[in-house]
Amino acid sequence: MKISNQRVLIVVLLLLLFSSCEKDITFKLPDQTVKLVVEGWIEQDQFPEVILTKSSPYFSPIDTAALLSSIVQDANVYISNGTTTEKLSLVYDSQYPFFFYKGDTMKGEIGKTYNLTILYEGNTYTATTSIQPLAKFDSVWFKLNPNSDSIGNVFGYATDDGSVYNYYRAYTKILHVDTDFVPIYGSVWDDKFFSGQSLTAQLYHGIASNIVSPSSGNDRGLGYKLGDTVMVKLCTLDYETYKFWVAAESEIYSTGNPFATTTSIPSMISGGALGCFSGYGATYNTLVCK
Amino acid sequence: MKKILFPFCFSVLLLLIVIPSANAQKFTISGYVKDASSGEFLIGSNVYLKELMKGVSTNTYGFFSITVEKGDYDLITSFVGYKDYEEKIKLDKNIKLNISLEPNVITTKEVVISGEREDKNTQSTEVGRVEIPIEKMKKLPAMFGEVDIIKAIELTPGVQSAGEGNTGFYVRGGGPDQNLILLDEAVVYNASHLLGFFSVFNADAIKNVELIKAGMPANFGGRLASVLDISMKEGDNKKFDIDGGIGLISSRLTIQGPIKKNKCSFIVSGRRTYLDLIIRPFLNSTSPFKKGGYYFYDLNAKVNYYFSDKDRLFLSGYFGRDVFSLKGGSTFSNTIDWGNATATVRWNHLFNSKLFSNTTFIYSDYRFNLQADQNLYQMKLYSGIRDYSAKLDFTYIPAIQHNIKFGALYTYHMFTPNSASAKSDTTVFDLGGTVKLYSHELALYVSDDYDVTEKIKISGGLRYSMFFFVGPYSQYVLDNTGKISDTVNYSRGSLIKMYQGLEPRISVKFGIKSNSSIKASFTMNYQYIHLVSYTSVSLPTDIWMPCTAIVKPQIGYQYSVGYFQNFRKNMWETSLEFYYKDMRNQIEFKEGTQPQDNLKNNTDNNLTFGRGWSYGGEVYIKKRLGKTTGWIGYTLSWTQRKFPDINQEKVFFAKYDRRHDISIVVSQQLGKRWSISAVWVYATGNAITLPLARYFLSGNIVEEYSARNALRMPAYHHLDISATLEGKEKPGKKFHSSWTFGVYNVYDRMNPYYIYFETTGSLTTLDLKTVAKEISLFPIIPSVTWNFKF
Repeated sequence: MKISNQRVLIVVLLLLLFSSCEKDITFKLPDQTVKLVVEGWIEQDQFPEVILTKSSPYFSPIDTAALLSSIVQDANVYISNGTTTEKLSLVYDSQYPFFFYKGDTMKGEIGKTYNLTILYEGNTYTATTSIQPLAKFDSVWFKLNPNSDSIGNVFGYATDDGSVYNYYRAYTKILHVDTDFVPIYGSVWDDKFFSGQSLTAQLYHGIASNIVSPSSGNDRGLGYKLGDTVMVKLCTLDYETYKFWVAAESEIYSTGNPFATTTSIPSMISGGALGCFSGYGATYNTLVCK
Repeated sequence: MKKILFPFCFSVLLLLIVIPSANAQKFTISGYVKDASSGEFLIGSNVYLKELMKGVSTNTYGFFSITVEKGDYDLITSFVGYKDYEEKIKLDKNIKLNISLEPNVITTKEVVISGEREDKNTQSTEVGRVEIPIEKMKKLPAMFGEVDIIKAIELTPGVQSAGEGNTGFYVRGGGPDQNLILLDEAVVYNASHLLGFFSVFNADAIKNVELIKAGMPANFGGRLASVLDISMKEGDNKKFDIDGGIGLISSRLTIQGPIKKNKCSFIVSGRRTYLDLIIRPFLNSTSPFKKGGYYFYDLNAKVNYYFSDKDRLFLSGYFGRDVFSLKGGSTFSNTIDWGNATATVRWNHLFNSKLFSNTTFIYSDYRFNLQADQNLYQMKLYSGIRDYSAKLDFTYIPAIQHNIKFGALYTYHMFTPNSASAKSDTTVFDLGGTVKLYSHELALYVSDDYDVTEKIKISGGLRYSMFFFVGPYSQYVLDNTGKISDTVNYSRGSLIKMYQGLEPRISVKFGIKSNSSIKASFTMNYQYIHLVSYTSVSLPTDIWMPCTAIVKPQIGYQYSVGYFQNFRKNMWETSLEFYYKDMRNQIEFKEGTQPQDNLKNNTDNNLTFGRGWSYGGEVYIKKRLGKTTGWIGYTLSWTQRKFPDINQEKVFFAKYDRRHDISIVVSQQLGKRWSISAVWVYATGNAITLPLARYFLSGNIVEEYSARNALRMPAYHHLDISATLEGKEKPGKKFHSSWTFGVYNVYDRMNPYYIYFETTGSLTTLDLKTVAKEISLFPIIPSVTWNFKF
């Protein structure tokens, strides 16, 4: 739960109390340069993956042709752990952006620092991340909402290491419902407010995408259904990765909220590209909602 | 400090000693001016001597003093809406004169307002003054028929509303925190209900409203942009009156009367909205508003005691709250409430016919509370300000050419910018506890309004202010990852940081003809508190911050020059004013600051500092007299800011930068009972930041924004009309009623409240669409209010 929720509540108040009106308008925006967008990550015991796309002017059409032309397939992508450097190769995927770059030799290791280098259209882009020591939920469980006989929430119990600064990110995945791990609502946090303490965290089911899909029926809200099998993923992050995802998550959830800050997400990539290179130390728990 | 104090004291002495010594065989006429029917003292009524063509105005307490040479004079007293009072005076000794003015019976007869001093516009040194009589405000159209003092003030040039749904008003490029809003001398920190739709001032309890937007006199300070000085009524000390009104969303009731006739009177006035009660039956049982809702109320009360012509005592208070709640079954509930409370004790004492004093003790409190419960989580948030002040003001009127004021103000501030607590089940989060900031503010001032010659008048003043930020306080020192690396603790009362400054003020009037003049003013102001907001919309959640070791005082310099001319025997008043304003040490949150960054931290660690400036011109054409009255105000202005850490150090427009701002107000008296008014406002759209490009991140669409405030909302405009029907006056009957009908936004203009973008479709099918959507709050809104008095 975020403090910025109060702003949302105030908007709700305004909109409900008054006969507010909504209409579509046309708006002319000045042109903005197209930039390279990097989304790279490395997890312990996994090969690094990097997705490259391009940004596009706000109102340019987003039809199939435009989406396909935003995919970058001809870059050279390298990852180094300080001693070894590996060139990632282009791999096909069944969903947008259909291609990404993946390593096949060097796996992520806890405690190591990784450098990403991208050569594209004569420019060089670089970024650095690291994989932090692991943290794990001691237990995870499901509890029905007091007024419901089918919907409830998932909770996790963990103890923070008080001797160091910790930054976390959590995801859940409902098997046969989610295609991938979905960051929980408010997925990124640090231990500023509970350093060294044990904590019961409510793991809200987040949104897989902020694109409003007309067909997506969601009868779970921010919760889970009785009978769901849920995988919980808890990652540790370094400070830079944490800072990026705090800003990115605020942006993802605030789309359309005029009370949110309108500041671009700061980039983790130097050289003029947008995006991030995240190092994750991940642990997993599984539970059946009963 | 000595260096500054010495010239300050010296100039006070100089004024006190040098000026009266030019005196020979002079006598003083002094006294009070009041309303004959209610006994209310009249502020700003004019007392002048026909032979000399010179006069004075009564002060906030209705007091005047004229010292002139021995002789025979014809003394005339006048005030808006009252019959003139004339008396022949043989001045060969000091005279005490209490004048009662008979009100014009405005309800049944055609009104020709003649009271106001005809040429006040051109003859005083005052620049940038706005006064709208309360009776006039009550006839202007208002949303839902709720008479709104601040909305009426916003119709004058140089004063801007931020649009619907925004708290505060903006004066000549200044932010909402740069307005000193005083209710019976108590500072009101947040002057609006329901996020700016209604002001907290209940017009029934208000006697006088004055806005000063330039040439701020030295007795006011602590804010850069303006003073909105509001005086509450004292209460009828002759008879009981009950006033009230029943409107669409609220009702109000005022009771006033004597406790002891001509000695002691009281007034109590209350107002509450009932929108929540009206809509509740129409909501289905699962709506979170079914058990919750929204309402606001306020209560004004005042008592005064008249001991003698020398001593009077006033006690006044205000209390108002907005309460908002949502409840969704047993899993979710939310309560937000906020509001102001003020109390003022004042003692007027007359030392002699030339020296008037007022001693004031003030309490002012503003608070914002939020409590949210959701399943296991519970969160509480509190922010607020509490002030205790003491003030001593003297007015010394040695001769008719001089009006000297001097005094001192002391305030003890307690700020709680953001204090939160949260728990999840049994885990209590350590959010850093309550952070309070304590400070002392002190100011000394002296000023003189001096008629140098027939044509030239100078109003000069000097204010010296000091601010002490004191303990107890814990300063968190952060490392480059935002973690606390050190904590510096200060003990109770220990001085952490002190700021001080001299604030010179000067206004000059140069008369050209009797009906035209040129006026110029320079003011320098220090402001020791700031208001910071996370977003582009100003809300009650904005944080008030005092100066700290990191936050420096705001400093403002304003240069203003104007040409004033009246036409057709003062039937028309016109003015053309230009201004330039420089504002130093403005603050903003650092880019990307999230509200939670203020927890377990000092808010000032998240702030960044820069400069702002504003310039522009204002045209004002007003028809004061006749059956048709009204005005046209036009403002052309630019307001910009520059911060080293924001917008890559490039200059950007302030969000309230307004290129064009037009207000047209017309009132027409139709026969004896009907009067109609129309108001049209037009304003350039607010400066906003919008996304220019988008990209995908983990299957989400995210945005890359334009430079700060680089784009504009569509223009804001609407036309409102109202009609008032006075009930038939029945001889011998005290009861009187009237109906006010209004239509807000007559041509149903959809003014944008905010714009947002929505992307729909699916990445799987490679079919996406982005549309811009505009939300507007108020369509055409009719209203009706029934007012009564008996």
